Amino acid sequence: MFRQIESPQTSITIYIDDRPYAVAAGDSIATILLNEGLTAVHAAPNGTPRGPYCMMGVCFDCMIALEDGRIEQACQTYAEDGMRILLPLTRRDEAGQ
Amino acid sequence: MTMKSQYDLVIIGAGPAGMAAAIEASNGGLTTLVLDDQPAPGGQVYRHILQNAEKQADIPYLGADYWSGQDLAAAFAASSAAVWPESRVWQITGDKEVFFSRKGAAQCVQAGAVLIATGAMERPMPVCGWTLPGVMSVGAAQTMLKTNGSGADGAVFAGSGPLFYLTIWQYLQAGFAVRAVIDTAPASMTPRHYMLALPALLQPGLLLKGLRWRAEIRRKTEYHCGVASVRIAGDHKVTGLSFRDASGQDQIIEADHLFIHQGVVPNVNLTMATELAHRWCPRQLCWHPQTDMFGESSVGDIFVAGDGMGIAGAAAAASSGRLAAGRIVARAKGASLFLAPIWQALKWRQTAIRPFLDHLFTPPEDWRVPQDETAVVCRCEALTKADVSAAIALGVSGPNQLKTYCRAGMGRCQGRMCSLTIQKMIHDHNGGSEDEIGYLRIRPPIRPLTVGELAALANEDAGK
Amino acid sequence: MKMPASSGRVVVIGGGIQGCATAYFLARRGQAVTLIEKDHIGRHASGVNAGGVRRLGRDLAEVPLSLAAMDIWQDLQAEIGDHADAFHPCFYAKIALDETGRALGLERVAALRKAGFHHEIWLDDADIRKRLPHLSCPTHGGLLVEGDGWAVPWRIVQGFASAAVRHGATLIEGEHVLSLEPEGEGWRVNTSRRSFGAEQIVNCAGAWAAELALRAGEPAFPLSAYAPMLAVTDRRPPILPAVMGVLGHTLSLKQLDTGQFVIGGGVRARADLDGNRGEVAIPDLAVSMRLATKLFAEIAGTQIIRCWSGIEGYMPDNLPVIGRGRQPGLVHGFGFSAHGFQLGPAVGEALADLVMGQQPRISLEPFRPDRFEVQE
Repeated sequence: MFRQIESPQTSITIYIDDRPYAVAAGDSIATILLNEGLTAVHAAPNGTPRGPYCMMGVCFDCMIALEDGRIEQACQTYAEDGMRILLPLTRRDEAGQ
Repeated sequence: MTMKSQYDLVIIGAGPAGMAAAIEASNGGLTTLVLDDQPAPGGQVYRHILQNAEKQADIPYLGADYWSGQDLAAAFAASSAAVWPESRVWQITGDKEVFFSRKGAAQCVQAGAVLIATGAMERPMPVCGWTLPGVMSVGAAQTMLKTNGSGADGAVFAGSGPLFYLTIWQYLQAGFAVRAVIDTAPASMTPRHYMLALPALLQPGLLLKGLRWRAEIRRKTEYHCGVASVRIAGDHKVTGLSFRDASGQDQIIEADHLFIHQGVVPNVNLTMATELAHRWCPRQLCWHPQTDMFGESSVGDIFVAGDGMGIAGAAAAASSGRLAAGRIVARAKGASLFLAPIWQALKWRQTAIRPFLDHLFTPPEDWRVPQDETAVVCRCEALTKADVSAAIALGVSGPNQLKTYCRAGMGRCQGRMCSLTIQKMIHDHNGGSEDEIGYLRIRPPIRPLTVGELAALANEDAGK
Repeated sequence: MKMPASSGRVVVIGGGIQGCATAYFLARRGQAVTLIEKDHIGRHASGVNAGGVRRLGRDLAEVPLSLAAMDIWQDLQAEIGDHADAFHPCFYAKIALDETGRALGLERVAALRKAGFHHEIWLDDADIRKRLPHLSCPTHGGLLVEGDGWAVPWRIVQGFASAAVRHGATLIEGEHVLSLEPEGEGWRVNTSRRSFGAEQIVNCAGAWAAELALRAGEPAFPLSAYAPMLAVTDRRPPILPAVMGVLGHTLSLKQLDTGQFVIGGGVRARADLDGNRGEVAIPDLAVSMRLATKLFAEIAGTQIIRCWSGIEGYMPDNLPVIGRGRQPGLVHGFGFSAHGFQLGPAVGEALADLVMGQQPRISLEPFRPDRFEVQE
């Protein structure tokens, strides 16, 4: 798990799979996921779990679903108060795939 | 769309090259726009530097090289260049229209000249298990440090190169527990290394610093070198790393986080999609856009600067940004380029150490193409070395013809994580020249945009 | 008059579906055939098209050829073996979004019935919605054809090429034909690497066919090269069990077995024949994207991960050139104006018939090579 040295400046709330998290405004979703120990977020076409790898937008393995259904890179998406994120891997597991 | 914004110079990327160019161009009187995909300037090397500057005393572990970027970032923020953050450029046309997406809306600006300063990315490392959750590149670890001072206690580091040693050193300074370091660089130097090290003496500070970091890492961590057969273990996530050590013993080190690195390469997707000419660089084992001494590409008024034109480090990146911008300003004004030789000489001095570093940290063969047939080569489509080899065996001239036999390169990343691997596999099979085998044919959009975004881009001339 | 397979070699120029299918049928009939492709099999139009396999919406003049081709598609495994798995049958629907579209559709059904064709049927909105339950918008009805489908184009082309080679054809890739000289009763073919004799030549050189024809001493054909563009998206849950178009508009919309949408439909960009490249003018695709999101609102949030274009050869009347050339021993099969893929198997058969002096079972009258020549 990623430990933060400085005390986190958690000023807003986002929801990941409907669970609330107190986070710092402007942090990337990928940063937040790693701070929360969530290293697997979506599935590759063959079903294997994947998660953040490069943290700079070139690997496309940190995919998350936004509320409007868009699939975006977590490392290129920045936290705003009230944001709701779904992890495609969770939905896939729930669908029994 | 009919009323596009116009700028004399559009710069893509706000790393050291982009920032230096923006300062130079705007001071030179050009209307300048910087499109950067991050929320704040700095690129990768100076990520988050303006926010971090307020608490510099609290984060000494990032090191002097990082903090040396402060002045540049501050000057950039104070310059008259327009900056649009969180802007993802997805196409540059031959007419120098720059298409990008910002906050879910696709837009276009018209540029008089374009400077592509999109920098580098880490080389793909298709070792067995590299796709497991918990495995990340060393650059990713450094990004977490810079972003909010986060690190993974008990992490294992494997690989080599300047960024590798720097990040481990930063972890040690910050007080994170480093479980082990597996150094894949040669354990001892050859005569060739010593020969190449001679010009490196022009940058003695860099040489000494590197030696110091490596010594401290050897002292303070469980350090292994001269290893072989590195494999990442785990089923649904990483559980550890196995390898054969220098004495021939098989070892396994357990870890929940593993950071790997084998150097950086220019991120060529935008330059390739813009149809600039490229050439294979055998020394750095990557593609470089072909440019003149100022960074002008094979397409007039489209320039490249920084690590995106060849790996040379942050200081050289800033110099190349200034060179390119200086050229563009001079052309706009019809002035002479008497300052150019100064930047050129400085850049030459700043890159004197490169041949030594490139040779010392050449990625091992089995990190470029895996030995293991089950190792994933194309991450996006989950294709293994065996899948790709089977297609190559059918007879292909390059990565593009390979796409007619298997889906390698057809995923979201458009070859960033696999094209170099595929190219080497084809070269190993076919022989010939790397320039002939080539890279995947990269086409716009080089970043995804939604169907809805594109639908909202009106173009009355379509469908003629 | 039926003639036995001749001892002379037939050279087919162009490794797209037309050339590969022709080479296959010739080889299967025992003819010595060499297929020459300047790049690699399926490199151009045949490899990068939308993969539509449709009888729906064909120009009336092409319908018999299209129906004959569909017979072959429906039994493709018998011809090309495993590669036939690249064909995915499904219904094709072209719906009307307004009264103009509806009028076009009804007019078309009437014209087809009058000519004796019944493969296209008209459905009202309620029946369309039963077949396409995820449609987001009201329709004014639509045309439908059962048993059309889509295919992975490069795999089909490879299937024909491999089958041709299995039956004895010689395949040469990566060589340009530089010149064609009449020699005796036949030809001398000079490529970038070799020179050999041929009894007959089949010109399936796609967008480059007019250039090739000139080199063979044929008159100038009014062939233009353009690059239609396509986009492919991320993977999504399946909502579209058909290939779709819209009456009165250019749109091709399908969802692959991977869940990815392929969106295109005739929007054309500039082609560079010498450079082997078509440009990708992404804003021009906006029209197709608007239509796609109108049909299925959830497509709006789907990411486009790649666009591409392919070079196609267009004739002024949008009908291909299929038939004997003015020179003896030369047969043409080109100019398919971005809708030749489905026709390929039947065109290959017809071209093989022409080469062997047999009467093609479908009349090729609408496709006469000389139809553009000014009558004196």
